[in-house]
Amino acid sequence: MELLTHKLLRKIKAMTHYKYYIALIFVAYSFFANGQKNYQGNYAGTFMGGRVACLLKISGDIVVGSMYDGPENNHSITATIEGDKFNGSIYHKVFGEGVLEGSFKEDSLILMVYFFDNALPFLLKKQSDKLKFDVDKIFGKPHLDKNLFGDWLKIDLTDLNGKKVVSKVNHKYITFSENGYYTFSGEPLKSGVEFNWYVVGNELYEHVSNNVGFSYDFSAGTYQIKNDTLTLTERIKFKTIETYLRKK
Amino acid sequence: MKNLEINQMSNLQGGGRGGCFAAMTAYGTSIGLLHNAKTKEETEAALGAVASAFAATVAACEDQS
Repeated sequence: MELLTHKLLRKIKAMTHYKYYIALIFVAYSFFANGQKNYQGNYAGTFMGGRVACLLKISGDIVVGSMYDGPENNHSITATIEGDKFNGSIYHKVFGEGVLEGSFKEDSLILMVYFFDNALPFLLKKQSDKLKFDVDKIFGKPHLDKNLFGDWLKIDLTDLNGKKVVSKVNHKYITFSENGYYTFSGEPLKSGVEFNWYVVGNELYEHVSNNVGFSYDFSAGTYQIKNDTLTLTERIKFKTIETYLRKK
Repeated sequence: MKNLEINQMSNLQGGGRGGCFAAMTAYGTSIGLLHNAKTKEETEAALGAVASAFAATVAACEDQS
């Protein structure tokens, strides 16, 4: 009886150890998994100098995400995470498939995207753990501002400090049509290419498309109209101020 | 439709098939121009070039997919 009790006690002890090891493995796994899950969430940043919003959903070491570089520009991301290294690809609806390489640094994801032979920086900063965002909230609701309708003569192009900037292209005037078309002088449009405009808040967007499915939106900066003078300020990519006078 | 075509173009990237490959090279160059544009006007011009290069690439690679 005593021997049996002793054997039973040893068995229980062994089982306790077994449970202990399982618990330890579980804790270690949870720590590891949670460590990676911290990268999951929604991000904001820049790509090709423009503003982007991004969602990254992580399952194990697999990342599935989407990137918006305009209200209507949605591109998909697939990647893997190893430690803080991030490697994968982006399927950009205009540039095609690009290779993503980079790493997480604290709450930021610093990447390079390779499209053909071009290495383009892609920088993201985590906003929250939420796996949802409202594109309209980030980029706003597009509409046409009737105050912009008509022709505008270009009178100045400077950097943010007021120093003259020389552009390789010289548009003498721009036109915001009531039907949403956007045209400019100085650079003839290539066949089949069309520009449209819209605003979101006080930000001016241009939408470029062609007759075989190319479609791309970019922010031209924030605008202000005062006494028939239009000022267009772009602080992220161009860092310029354009001034136009309403053509009467 | 275009997504599929871009995928097919990507598949052809290593193939070096004459006109298709040349068009894709030009397309890549136009993306570089867009990336390096310093003003809104240069960006507009570069985007026009990218859109045209995209169309040329689709046309050149379409019959090879």
